[in-house]
Amino acid sequence: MHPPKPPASLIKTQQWLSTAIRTLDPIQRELADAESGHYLTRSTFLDSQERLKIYISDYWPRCLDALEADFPGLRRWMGNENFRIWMTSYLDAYPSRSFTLSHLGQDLLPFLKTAYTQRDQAQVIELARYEWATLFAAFAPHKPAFNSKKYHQDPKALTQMRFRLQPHLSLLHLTYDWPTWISNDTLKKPKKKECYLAIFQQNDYFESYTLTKGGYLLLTEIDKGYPLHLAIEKAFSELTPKEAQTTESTLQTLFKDTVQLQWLTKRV
Amino acid sequence: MAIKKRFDVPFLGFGLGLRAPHYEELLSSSGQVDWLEIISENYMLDGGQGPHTLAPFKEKYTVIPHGVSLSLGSADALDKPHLKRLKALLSYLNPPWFSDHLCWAGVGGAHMHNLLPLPYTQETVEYVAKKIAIIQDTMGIPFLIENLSSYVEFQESEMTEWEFIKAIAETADCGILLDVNNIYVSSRNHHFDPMDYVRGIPANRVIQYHIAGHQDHGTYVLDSHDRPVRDEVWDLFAKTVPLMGDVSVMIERDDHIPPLSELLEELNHAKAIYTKNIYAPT
Repeated sequence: MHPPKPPASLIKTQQWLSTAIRTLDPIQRELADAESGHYLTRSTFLDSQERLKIYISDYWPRCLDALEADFPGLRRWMGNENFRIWMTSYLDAYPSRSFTLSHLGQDLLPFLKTAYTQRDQAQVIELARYEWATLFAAFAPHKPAFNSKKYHQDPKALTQMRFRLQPHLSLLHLTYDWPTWISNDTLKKPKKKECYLAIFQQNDYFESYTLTKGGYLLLTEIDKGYPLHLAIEKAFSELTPKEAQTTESTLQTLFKDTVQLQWLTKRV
Repeated sequence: MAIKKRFDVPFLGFGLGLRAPHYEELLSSSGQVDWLEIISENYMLDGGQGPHTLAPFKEKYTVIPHGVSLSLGSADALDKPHLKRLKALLSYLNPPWFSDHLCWAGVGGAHMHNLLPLPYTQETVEYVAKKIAIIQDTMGIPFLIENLSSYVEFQESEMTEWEFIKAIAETADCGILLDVNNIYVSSRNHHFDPMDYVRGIPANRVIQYHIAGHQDHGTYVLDSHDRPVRDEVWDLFAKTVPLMGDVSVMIERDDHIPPLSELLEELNHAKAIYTKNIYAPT
């Protein structure tokens, strides 16, 4: 069956109401209010503008509450009021394009990178990236994992293979200990501490795995599509001798965990 | 009054919405809740909490998927990936029916995360009915449309809401999920007699009820699903029951979720009203 064509009047009405509910632009707001009587009837107690306001006063709190729940650390860092101001600007710039509120924060990073030009921009971006990774891990797909058993007899073939990391896995290089700060309300500020994390899905929730710098670089190169031997070469080229030594001593454990935790998928 | 239903679906009895605080009790208790309704979208993400998490509930209860984002009335085309995910959920649960709201939830690709009303015009009837036909063809099981609670009505409307629902249900040949609280809420907001609405609905297509609580703001009534069902809604339910024949009943609570025992009390109250009135003279 062919998809039906919407009536022209329906398109016009829905475009008007959608804008009338969401707009923050004062000129558009005034226009929407002025036009409300053209589109909407009045009731015994409320005129068309007041009826429209019921929907406006539902839309914004619903979206802002969802973002507050998804980014509790960012809210704490920015302060309640400031958080809601910035998130209102964000939703204005990036209206939701998903059926679920779970995806509401998916464009927050690009927004913060361009719009949030405050002194703490670097911290805010890092914190938002961490919190989004924990959310994303919980609902992103899990693809069939690479089965290494076939390659036990042929390790050379293994080094030639190209992989992709699971879509739900995010590799993070943090300069603050956000996880500890978020989980402890009594800490005023996060501790400055460089750390490398893999955030991934496990049992329908997110898990965090601490990596060495070398492990982080190696997984990054693997995800770019380099065959294993080249990924190792590239990762080690960026390490100091001491870092290389640490990475070398943990490489076997990392590979074992990577396979066991099903992070690798075969690149098609 | 015995009413021959349009769809050959079972009467499920008296159900509740599946909400996280009640998971354990619902799995360990027996006989107090006949069936469960889920919010479909909660199990339609690409990963994480997928349909498989419903396995223990599926073993014990009939689980009915109820959606909030098919956006049937949107000027945007149906979202094919969304339909695919919904089909996967239905295939897993194998329910006797599924439902969503007669509304639109966004346009131009933007989602409003709300259930917005439609202008009640013949053009809209034909447009929405065609979309429902596509959905029913794709899913292969009966689909119910739910009446909304609304706070605005459009100047261009040509008919009443109940005439609109009847026309769509009959044109698309689908079922109806009659939300008694929504009828009450809209009757207050738009000043009509709720019994005119009830009498205007084709009883043979009504397969399921929703009953819920609301907030009375004086100048308007808000469908909030965050408190017990109010007496005026119970009264309307009592008057509706004898007109519709056997219809599965479900109590909705989405916010300020109380202990299960409190919802069971409401469910028992619904059962008492239903049993008392199902054969009452109309």
